[in-house]
Amino acid sequence: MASIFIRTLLIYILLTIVMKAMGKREIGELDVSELVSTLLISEIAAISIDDADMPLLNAIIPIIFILSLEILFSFAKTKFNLIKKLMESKSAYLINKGRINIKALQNNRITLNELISEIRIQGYASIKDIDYAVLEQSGKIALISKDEGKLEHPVIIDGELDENLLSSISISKKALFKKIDEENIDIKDILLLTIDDDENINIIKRMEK
Amino acid sequence: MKAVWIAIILLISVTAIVIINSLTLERIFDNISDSLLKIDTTDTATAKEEYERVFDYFKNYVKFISLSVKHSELRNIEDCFWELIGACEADSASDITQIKSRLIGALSHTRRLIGINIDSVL
Repeated sequence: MASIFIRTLLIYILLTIVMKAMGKREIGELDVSELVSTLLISEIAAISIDDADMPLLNAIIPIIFILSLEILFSFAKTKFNLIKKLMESKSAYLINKGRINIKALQNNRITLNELISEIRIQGYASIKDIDYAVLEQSGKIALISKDEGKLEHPVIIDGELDENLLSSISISKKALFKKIDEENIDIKDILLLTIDDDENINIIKRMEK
Repeated sequence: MKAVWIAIILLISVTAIVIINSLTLERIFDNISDSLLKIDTTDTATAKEEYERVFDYFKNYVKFISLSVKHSELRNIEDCFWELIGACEADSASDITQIKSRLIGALSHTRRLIGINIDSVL
């Protein structure tokens, strides 16, 4: 009993440090790798507390290993676009300019009933009131009503053009590059470029090093 | 960036600990198994002393081994050693052969689990 008490205390301290190192996030906001890490760490911790026959090091080593992998993976996602593209889910326009995007609903396995339910939950009486419904990376659906002004679409993030997003809005690639040229700026120097439905662009430049 | 460096250091440290631990344990278990196989059991009195010597060698490392080997497996190996020494005292040749085989089996099983090989991974 005493050993279980001490093991629990040690695992509790270790997990508190590990979870703090992984960053504060709610379960619904975890991305795939964070969710996998959290599930694995909690399972390893539970086994090591329950099974007194198992050496504590057999739990500590994997927990530290998962933590370091998670931190390095998160860092790699910010540095390497390929990893970012592979691991991060993209936001999707479920309703685009008042029109339901059936393909996006199917791709994200969301039924029309679920979408309508979400619209009601967020306090809108009719789907007609909605200009945009965006499935965000966190899994939540953001609704923009027709009265709420124009939605800004982030088409360039960190110097990378989001061609999928660009294809879902009215402006063509050629027209966008013409506007960028008018601003006399290289695409790689753009931290964020948003464009609204009236084709007004807003550019935030990358800060000089 | 500081967190990334800490993560790199942790990853390297953990990998090094795992590799060193596995290689050291493999060497210890190999030494014990080799020593046991070399012992001639025709003279049980001498064999008993030899087994005790091997058991002492095992006990020297037991704290290190228990860091990563399940305690039940360690107890099983210790029990086999005690039974083997007991069988030598009782001068029971058949028991000695049987228990020695069980001990070597237990050692090889544990060695397989701690070693870096595809068997232990799968």
